[in-house]
Amino acid sequence: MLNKEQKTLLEQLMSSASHEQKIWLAGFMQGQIGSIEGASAAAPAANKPAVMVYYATETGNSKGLSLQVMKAAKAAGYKVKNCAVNRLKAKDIKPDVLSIFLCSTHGEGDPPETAINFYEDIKAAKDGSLEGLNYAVLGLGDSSYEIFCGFATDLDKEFQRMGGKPFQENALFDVDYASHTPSWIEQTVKNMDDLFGLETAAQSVSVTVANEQAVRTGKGYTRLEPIKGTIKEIVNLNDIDSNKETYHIEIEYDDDVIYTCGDAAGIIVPDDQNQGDGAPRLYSIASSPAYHEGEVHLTVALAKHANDDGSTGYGIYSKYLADLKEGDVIDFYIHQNQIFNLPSDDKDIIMIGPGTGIAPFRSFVYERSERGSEGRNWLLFGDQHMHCDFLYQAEWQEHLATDVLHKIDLAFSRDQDHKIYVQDRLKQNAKDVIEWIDGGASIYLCGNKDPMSKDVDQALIDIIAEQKSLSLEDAADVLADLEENDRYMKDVY
Amino acid sequence: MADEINKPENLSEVEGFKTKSRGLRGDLNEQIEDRITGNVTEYGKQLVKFHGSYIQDDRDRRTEREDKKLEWAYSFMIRLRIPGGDVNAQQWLGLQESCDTKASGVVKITTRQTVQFHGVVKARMKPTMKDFDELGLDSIAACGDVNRNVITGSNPAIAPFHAEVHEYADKISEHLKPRTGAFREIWLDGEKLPEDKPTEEDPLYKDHYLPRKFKVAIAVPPHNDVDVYVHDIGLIAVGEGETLEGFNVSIGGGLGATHGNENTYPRRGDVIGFIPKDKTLDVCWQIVAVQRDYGNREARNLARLKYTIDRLGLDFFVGELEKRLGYKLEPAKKVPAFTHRGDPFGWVEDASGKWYYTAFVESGRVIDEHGYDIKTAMKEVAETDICGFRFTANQNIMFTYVDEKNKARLEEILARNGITIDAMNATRREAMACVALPTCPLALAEGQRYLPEFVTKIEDLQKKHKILDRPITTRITGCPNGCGRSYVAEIGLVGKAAGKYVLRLAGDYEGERLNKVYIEEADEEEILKTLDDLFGKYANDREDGESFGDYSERTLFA
Repeated sequence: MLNKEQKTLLEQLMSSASHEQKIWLAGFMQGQIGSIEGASAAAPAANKPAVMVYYATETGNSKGLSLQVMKAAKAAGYKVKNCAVNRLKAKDIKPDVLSIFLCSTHGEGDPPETAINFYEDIKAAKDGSLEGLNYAVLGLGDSSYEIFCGFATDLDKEFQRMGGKPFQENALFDVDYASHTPSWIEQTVKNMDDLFGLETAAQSVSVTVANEQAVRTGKGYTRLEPIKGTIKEIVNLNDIDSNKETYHIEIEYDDDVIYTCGDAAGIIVPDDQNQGDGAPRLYSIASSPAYHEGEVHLTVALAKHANDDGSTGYGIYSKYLADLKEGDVIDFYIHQNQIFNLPSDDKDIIMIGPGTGIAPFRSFVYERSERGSEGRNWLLFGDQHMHCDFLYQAEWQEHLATDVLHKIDLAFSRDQDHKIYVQDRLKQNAKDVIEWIDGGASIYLCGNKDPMSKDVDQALIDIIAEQKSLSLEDAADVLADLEENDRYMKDVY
Repeated sequence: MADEINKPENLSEVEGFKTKSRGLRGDLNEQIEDRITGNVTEYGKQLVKFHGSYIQDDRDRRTEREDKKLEWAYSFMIRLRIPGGDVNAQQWLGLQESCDTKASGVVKITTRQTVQFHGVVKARMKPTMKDFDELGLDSIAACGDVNRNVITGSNPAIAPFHAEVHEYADKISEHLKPRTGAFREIWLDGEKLPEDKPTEEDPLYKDHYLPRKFKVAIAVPPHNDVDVYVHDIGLIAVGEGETLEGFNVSIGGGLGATHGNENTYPRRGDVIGFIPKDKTLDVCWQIVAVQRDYGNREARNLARLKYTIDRLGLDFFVGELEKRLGYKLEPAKKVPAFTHRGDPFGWVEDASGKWYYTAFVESGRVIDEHGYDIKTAMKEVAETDICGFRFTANQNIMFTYVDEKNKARLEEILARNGITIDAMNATRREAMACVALPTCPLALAEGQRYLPEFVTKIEDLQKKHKILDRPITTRITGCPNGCGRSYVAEIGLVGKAAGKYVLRLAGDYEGERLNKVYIEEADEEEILKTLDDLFGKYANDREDGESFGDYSERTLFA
C-alpha cells in the first residue's frame, strides 16, 4: 500500500519511537481516520433543510441543551442555528424554517426572565400568523411545583393558535432531564428526517459533549438522587447590633460529585420538618471546588417575618439550615448553572453581590486565587452596617492584601443618614465600569431580583449612556448584547 | 541650643507622622471614609489621638469575630475636652443621648474630669463628633502629644476664690490648644485646606507638637483631689482671704513607667516657685515650649517632661524657662497642707450661697446597677435644669450651682433612684481604677471591671481587723502607664499580666508621697494574704490617727 519512500519513512519512525510513542501513534492514526470519515458523512448537508433551535433559559440548561441539539442536527446534515428568545419577536420566526423551542420554566409555570418580552409578543400576535410552521417544544421544569412546565405548554397552545403544526408531541422533562434528553434528541432528528422524507443516517447519533460545560447526570445532580453531606462548620456571620442572621455553612461530602463556580446546592428538608413542602430550595454555592475540595459552602440568610400574633416566624428552609449543628447529616444535590460561570482566566470580572448575593463571588475569587488567574477581580458588596454585616470581611481583606482581589467597593446603607447601595457605587465608578467592560470584562450580578437587580440594570444602562454618549435605548441594547453574549450574567432570586 | 540626642536620623517614627501630617490632617479623612476595615493604619492611630480618640478593639471578642470571618471588633474611644469638668444640663442630656445611640451607652467619667465614649465604630465617628459640636463641645487634644484636658479641684467650699481658680482650667486649655483647623475639616466636614496652601501658624506646637503627652492640674489646698504633684505642671492656688493671688508651680510630675525598664519611673513634681495669677498663661506656655524644644524625641517612653528635667537638671530647666520669660520666678509661698483627696460627698455650699451635691459613680461608669441608678438620676436631674454638672477628678459627679430652694427637688430625684451617700463606705468611694480590659490596647490586667470585687475583699479585711474607721486609698491600674494613678495610693495595684499585679504600698492618704514596690508580682490570693497580715499588725500597732499608708511607710520601708 505504501510506496518505497513512505515505507522508509515509516520504518525510520518505528525504529526510533519508544513504546509509548507507538501507542500514541496508533491512537493518532485512529483519530485521523475518524475525522476523514466524519467529513464524508456530513457531505449530504447541502440537500437538507434549515433548522432553528430557540431557547428560553433560566439558568443555562436549555441553552446547553440547544448546543446538543445543534450538534446532533448538524451531524445529520441539517443547516442549524440557535438563538436566545431574549429579544425575539413573533415576526422573526420564519414559518418555512423548522423550529425547535427549548423552554425552561420559572416558578409556578411562568416563562423565565429572559423570555417574558418574547412571550408577551407571541400572545399579542395574530391568529394564523405562523401558518405552515413545523415546530417542536421541549419543556424543562420541576415537578415539585404545582404547575409543571407551564410555560412550554402555554407556548405550544399559542403556536397552534397561530397556525403552527407540531411535528411531534411536547416533551416535558423534570429536573433529571439530562438522563432523558439524549434519546429525545435522537428521536427528534429521526422525526425531522421523516417529515422531510429523508433517510436517517445509518449510525445512531450519540450525543456526548466533551467540554466542561457538559451537563452532569446521575446521583448527586437532581433532587431525585441527592447525596449526603455532613455539617463541618456553621456560624452566624452577622455580629451584635445586626438586624440579620446570615449563616455560613460548610458541608463535607464523600461522593464523587463535581460542581463548578456558579452552581447552586439544592437542599432537601426532611419530611418531618418541611411542613408538607417537599420541594428543594436552591442556594448559590459559596465555596470553590478547587480551593475547598470535598466541601460545599452556603451563605444562608435566615428569613424572618412577624406572625399575626406578634411572634417571629421563620422560613422553613433557612430555619432548617440555621438550626443545623456540626456533625448533622443533610440531603443535598448540585444544581448546575450553565450560564453563571467564570470566563477564561485572562478575563476581568465585575461581581455585584449585595447581601447573600456575595455567595458565588466568594466561590469565584477563591477559585481564581487557586488557579492563579491573571484577570482582575472587582467586587461590589453592600449590606446594612459595616461593623456587623460585612459578610466574609476578613477573607476579602486577605484577598486584597494578596492581590487576588483588585478592587472593592462597599455600600453600607444604614451607616449614614442617606442610604447608599451598590448601584450608587457603580455610578461613582462609571469610568472604571466602562474601562473594564471595554477591556473584555464580564459582569456578574447575584442577589435579590426586586428591586436590587433592576436598580443595577438601570445603573448600568445610565453609565453606558452617559459614558458612551448614547440614548438610554441604545445603552439598553448594549447591555442586552452583553447579556446575550454571556458577559452580563445574573443569578437573581 | 539643639540637643545632641534629637538628631533627625534617630527620631521616633511618630515624630515623622507629626511633621508630615499638615497640621494633624494626614490621610485621616480618607481612612475614616474607608469601609474595608474598621481599623486605621499606624499613622492614623497616632494622628487620631490628637483629635481625642484611640482605636481599640474588644479583646474579649477576638476569637468570636474571627469565627465570624470578621476582623476584630475595632471601635474608637472618644474623649472630650472639658476643662475643669463643667457641662450644663442640656450638654449632659445630649452627651448621654449620643452615647446611647452611637456608642456603648456607658458614659465614662475619667480621672481627668472629662468623659469618654467607648465603642464608636468608624462609620459613627463623624456623626458623634457632630453631636459634640452641636452641644458646643469638642475632643481636640484630649489625647496625643499636646496639652491634655486641664483639671482643677472640684470643691467650691474649699476657698472663697475657688470659682476664680476654676476658670483657669478653661483659660489654660484654650491658651495651649493646637491652632490647626484639621478638627473641623475632618470631623465636621469643614472646608478642606488646599494641598498647596500652608497650614495654620501654630507658635506653640509648630509642626512637630510635643515629644509626648502633657498634663496640667490645678489644686486648691487643702484638697488634693487632682493629685497635683503627678502632672507635668501642677498649680497650687495661693490666696489671701477672698482673693486669688497666684499659684505655686510644680513641674515634672508623672506616673508612667515601663515594666522592666529601670530608666522609667513615676516621679513627684518639683515646686519651682510662685507666679502671680496674671502670669499663669505665660508661664504655662513657656514651660510647654521648653519641653517642646528639649524633650526626648527618640524614645517615647523617656519623652515626658519629668525625664527632660532629670536629664538636664532642674536648675538648667528653670534657668531656660526664666530666660524665655524674661524674669525670675518668686519663691514658693506658704500654703495650707493638703489633707485629703476624696470628694466631698453630699452637700457643700460655696461663698456665694450656691449649693453643690457630689454623688458617687463607681469607676466613673454612668450606669444603672444594683438599684443604684445613677444614669437615670443624672438624666432626671438634667431634665429639671436646676443645676450644672461637674465631673470630678475622682470620677464622680457633682451637681453644681443649686439654689437653696431647689435642694429638696434634687434630693428627691436622687433618693428615688437609690443614690445615697451612705450606700458605700469610704474606701469604696475613694477607690479608683483605669478602664483596662477589654478595650484598652495597653492593658496587661483587669482594671475597672475588677475594682468593685477587689474593694469588697479589702472591706471584708477592714471589718475583720476593725479598721473601718478610716478609708484606705485603693487604686488599680491595668498597665504601668498608671492612668488609675496607682502610684499615689496607700494600696496601689499595677497590672503586670492576667491576674497578676505589682503591689505598691506606703503612699500617703493625702497624695504627697509616691508609694513603693512591696511585691514585684502577686496574684489576688497573695495580695489579700499580705494585706490581711499587715492590717492585723496595723490594727494593733498604729499610732493615733495614723493612716495605713503612713504606717506602711514607717514600718515597712523605714
